[in-house]
Amino acid sequence: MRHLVLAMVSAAALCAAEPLLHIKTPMPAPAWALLEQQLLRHNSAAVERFAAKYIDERGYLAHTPRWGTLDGPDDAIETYWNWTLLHALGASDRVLELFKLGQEGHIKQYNEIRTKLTELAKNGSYHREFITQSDWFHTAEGMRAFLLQGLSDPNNDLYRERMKRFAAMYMGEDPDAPNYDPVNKVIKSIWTGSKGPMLRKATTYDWVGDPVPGIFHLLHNPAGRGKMLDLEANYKKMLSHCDEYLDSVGDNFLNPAATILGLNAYMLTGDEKYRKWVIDYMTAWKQRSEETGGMIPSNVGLNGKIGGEYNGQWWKGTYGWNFTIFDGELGETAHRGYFTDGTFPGFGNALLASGDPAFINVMRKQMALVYAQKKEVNGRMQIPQMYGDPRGYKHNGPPSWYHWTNRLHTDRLMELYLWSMDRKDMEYIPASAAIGRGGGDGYAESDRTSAWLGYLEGKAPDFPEKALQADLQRIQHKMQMMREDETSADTRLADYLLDFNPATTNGLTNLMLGGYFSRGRIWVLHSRFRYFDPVKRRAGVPADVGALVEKLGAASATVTLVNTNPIEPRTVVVQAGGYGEHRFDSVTAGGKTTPVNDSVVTVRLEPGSGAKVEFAMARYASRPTFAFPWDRAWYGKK
Amino acid sequence: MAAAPALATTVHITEPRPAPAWAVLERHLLTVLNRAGEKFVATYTNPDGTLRWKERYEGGMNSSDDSYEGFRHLSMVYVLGGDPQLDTRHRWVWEGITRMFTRYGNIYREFDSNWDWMHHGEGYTSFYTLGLANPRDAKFRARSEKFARMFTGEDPESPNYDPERNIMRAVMNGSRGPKMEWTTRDWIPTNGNLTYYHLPYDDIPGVTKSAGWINDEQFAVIVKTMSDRMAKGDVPINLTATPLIADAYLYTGGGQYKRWVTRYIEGWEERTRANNGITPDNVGLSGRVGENMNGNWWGGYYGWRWPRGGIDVIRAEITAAKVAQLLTGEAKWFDLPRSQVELVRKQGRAEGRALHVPQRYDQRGWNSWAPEPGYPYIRMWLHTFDHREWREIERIIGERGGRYSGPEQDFEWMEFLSGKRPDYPVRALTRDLGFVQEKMHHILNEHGDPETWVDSKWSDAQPLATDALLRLTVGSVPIDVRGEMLHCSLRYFDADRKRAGLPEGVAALITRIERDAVDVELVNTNLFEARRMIVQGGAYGEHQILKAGAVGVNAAWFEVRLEPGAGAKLTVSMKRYANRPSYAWPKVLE
Repeated sequence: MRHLVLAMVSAAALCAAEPLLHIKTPMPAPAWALLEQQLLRHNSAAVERFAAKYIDERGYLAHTPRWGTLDGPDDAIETYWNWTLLHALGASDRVLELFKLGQEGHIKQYNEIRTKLTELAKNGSYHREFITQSDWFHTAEGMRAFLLQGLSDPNNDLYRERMKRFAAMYMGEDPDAPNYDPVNKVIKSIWTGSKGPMLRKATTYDWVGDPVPGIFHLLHNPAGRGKMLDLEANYKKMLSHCDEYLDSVGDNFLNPAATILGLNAYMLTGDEKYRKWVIDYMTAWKQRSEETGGMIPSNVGLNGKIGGEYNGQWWKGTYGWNFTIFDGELGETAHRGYFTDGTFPGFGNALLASGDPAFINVMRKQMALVYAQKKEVNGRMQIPQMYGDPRGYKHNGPPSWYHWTNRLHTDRLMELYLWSMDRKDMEYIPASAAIGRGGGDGYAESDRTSAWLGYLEGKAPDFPEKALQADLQRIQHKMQMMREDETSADTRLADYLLDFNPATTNGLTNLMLGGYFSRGRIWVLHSRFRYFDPVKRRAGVPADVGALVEKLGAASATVTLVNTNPIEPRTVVVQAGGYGEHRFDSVTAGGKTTPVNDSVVTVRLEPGSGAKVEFAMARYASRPTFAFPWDRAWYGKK
Repeated sequence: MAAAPALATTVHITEPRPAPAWAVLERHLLTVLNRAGEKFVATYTNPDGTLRWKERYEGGMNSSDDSYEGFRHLSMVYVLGGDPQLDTRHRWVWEGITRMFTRYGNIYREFDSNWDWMHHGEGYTSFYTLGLANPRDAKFRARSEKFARMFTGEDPESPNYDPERNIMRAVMNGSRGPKMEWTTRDWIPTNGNLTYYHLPYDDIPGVTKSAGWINDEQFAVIVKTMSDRMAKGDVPINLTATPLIADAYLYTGGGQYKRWVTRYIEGWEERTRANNGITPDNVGLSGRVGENMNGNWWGGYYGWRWPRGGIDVIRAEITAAKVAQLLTGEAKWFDLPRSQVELVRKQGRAEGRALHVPQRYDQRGWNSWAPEPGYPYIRMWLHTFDHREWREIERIIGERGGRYSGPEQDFEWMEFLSGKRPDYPVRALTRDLGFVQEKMHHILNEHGDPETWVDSKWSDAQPLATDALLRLTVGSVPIDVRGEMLHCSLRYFDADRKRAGLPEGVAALITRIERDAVDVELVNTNLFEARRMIVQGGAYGEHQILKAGAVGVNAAWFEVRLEPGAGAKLTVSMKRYANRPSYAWPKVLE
């Protein structure tokens, strides 16, 4: 997948606005299209109602803020985690405005915090509008909506300046935040941010923050969400949750997630240095995994050597392969290794930036090594989650696989398959004919990986309606929770309202964009399509337009486009990929094929018309960009 | 919140139900109909409400029926849940058409001067929806009474009806009274169309082919023969006047209207009995069958022979039976149409799987065999719930093998109501959406010269489809454009906005219809606001509702409160035709 064309297309081609495809064939509104529109409308209204109840005019979220990872700044801002994506799908402009209000308010609100027991927030949680120090597990969670704001708001100067500033903190360009060593290509600590890397052991106070008097509602309450927690009384336990979370120095396999800053800065500016950094840093990680024979090390020393801070034990490090610790709060041994959480996003970013499938191979190799250890227990497949001394993090004996469970990382396999579109990568993903109740992360949306794949494979034709209906019901449920919520700002901690966020985007992302977020982790949009309204000059489908991605092939994709408006025609710009990273070679509708050779196609839909449209496409053949299709001639040059 | 009126029984629906496909399609169809109706009216009307049409109208005896007919769905869409503006526009265009045809000379005293009830029916089917939509419009209420009196013998200026002999005095009737003689002028330009039909009689001197209609000499002979035999006296198609009289009753409750309807139908029942069980299709001014027809009971206008045959007699009888049942509560009125359907069926011959029946009767006896039309059985069964009708419905379902066309599409609906074809609602709503879009395509590209438009311009172009909504939401067959009014199981009102029709965001689906009960699914697709609605038994409160789910009602209506995003299926048990019907809305809406 080489770059055969740049995403920059001539202004003349777009300004002419002569649609390449003109759809005139009548299509009575299909139920899925109406459900999509209803979902966009109801999502918008639900977000407005949420904001009316829980966000004040300063943009403060009505809760009791404090520093901490159990409940802290990242949780508060994560409450809006999918609002920008929702807008980019086609929700009301109010949704984007409310996110911005909440984002600015959040920074102010959390800058009022003054911690005593940890230095990290002694002058507020943010410094230069970026978290002072945190790990990329939490930093990225808190930035989810912000990182996708560019989909809707690429011409926002403040947004662009921030993204450049934040990227600089991780590229070795910012002397006040020297998180990155460009020589050894390491991010120097698991704790990084606008105050630079933490090059000491962390303290439990860094993780937990100061105690705050009061009895609170808390989503992450070990005793259950319905119970209230006396924070001071429980404080000691909370500290002991993190007794073993103290190793900090050296690069950590959560850090590849930081490349999203570089990728985003590139997509906002077109400046090659950002792209180069993403590729360089992830190439270093690729080489590190090659050194172990395919295992992505969880720790790299400041010297750039795998396991460099642990005598070569590359499986060490907080949240690493061997992070089996005693959780003093729960009073039990816990396995907290997160080998996919930073690596899949990082290599995915490298793929977007470079178009080079070699980055996919790293993930494929890693999953193959894990799956090579699979075994059947009571008729169910299990794979190991951990690697290292099975006695635990404190022990330094010879490494081996351990802790087999039936957590099969199907979502990551799906991500991998969608990147490679190699059917061999589907081997361990069950394609289901039925949409199950789904599991999911509580406040995240239910996991429909199997059912969606089943639909793409032609096994579950009713998936679109079922999924969209379930999403509507989810909003209904959230609205009911909101109406019945009797907590007050004084009794809510930062994570409590996560569960009340009504915005529901997974179904729309699957069905309209052919896009996928593994277990709802939204930092970057991997998708086959995206839409723009060239009349309103905004991201998202124009009013009344439905889009249903029915088939995804390695070099093709089929989407049905329909205009349900009986009177007015609609024009929609269809983009190849969330960021124009793919290229359309041709488009076929009604038996007629038209060559394209571009990452966007303008389609005019007559009233009440629709058609199944098949695109031949070269994936990852274009440079990704946030630019609106009509801005691309000048974009990044200013 | 104000307390509910003491008499209201409320069913509270709280169970979450994600918007089913039928519900979103139903709501979308209503939205589309609102937009399409507005655009349709805007495209074809002048600012004063008249139609963009010819300066002069030379249509022979043709008149306003097609024009009114073209706009007949406007108020009905509102009644079902569409935009109230559509009803307002309907009244406005009604006035415009009336003024326009008054100027043309065809309308006098706001009613067609002389026309037959096949065509009156087509035009005034539009009139009846106005009472449903707004029983308090004094102007239309006064018109309704004025029009009714033209046919009850109470209006000396329009002596269409002979109360003594209980007959209409002519085939062509209206505000200028009975028309006793026809000339060729009356039949221009209709004569052109009639070349496609068989001749009215086989013994017209010198005329052997239908092409005679466009031969000047033969044309005159044809019209003279028809005038002599057909013009004077009564024909069964005049039974189509009964809804007009019922319309006045539904506004006023005036007993004279009810008495007229039953007495006039009884006249036809009597003549049928006297004619060996076959409804004669012509009666002379003296009241004698065959008086101008050489004694033949066949040969009348829209009768057993011409232009189509017996189905026109049967349809008029069904229309009248429905109205009589509504006014009296009795199902016996269906004995007359049932007897005629049976009589024809008994002449049937099996041809392959289908039964072929004679379409006509004349000097040759029964003739012109063709597949039996099945739809009359459904139209009767929905009123009689009689096993005799249901038996034939099941037979026809078996004969057709699942393929139905035209008015027989009601059989798909019957299958759905019997628990088959679960995808029927989605398919039916999609079909109607497709219809609207097809018509909108035409309307949006309209560029013709109004001077060249023919009478059927608006009824052809009109984009409003109500078939699926009528069947699925209120449980009615599509309204027979030949002059029927709405007859249904349930009707809805928005209790908050105090308007007719489903409240915004609410969808309804009737899934079972029996004599004693219907099952209806009600869904509030709005996830944020609760809705309050009234569910009424019948279009005119004629059905007494006994229970809604487990809740006792014992009234003509009950209230439903639907929580946001909630829905449920309710079994509504009822005693049909137990109440006096009226256009008046439930008091709670006042």
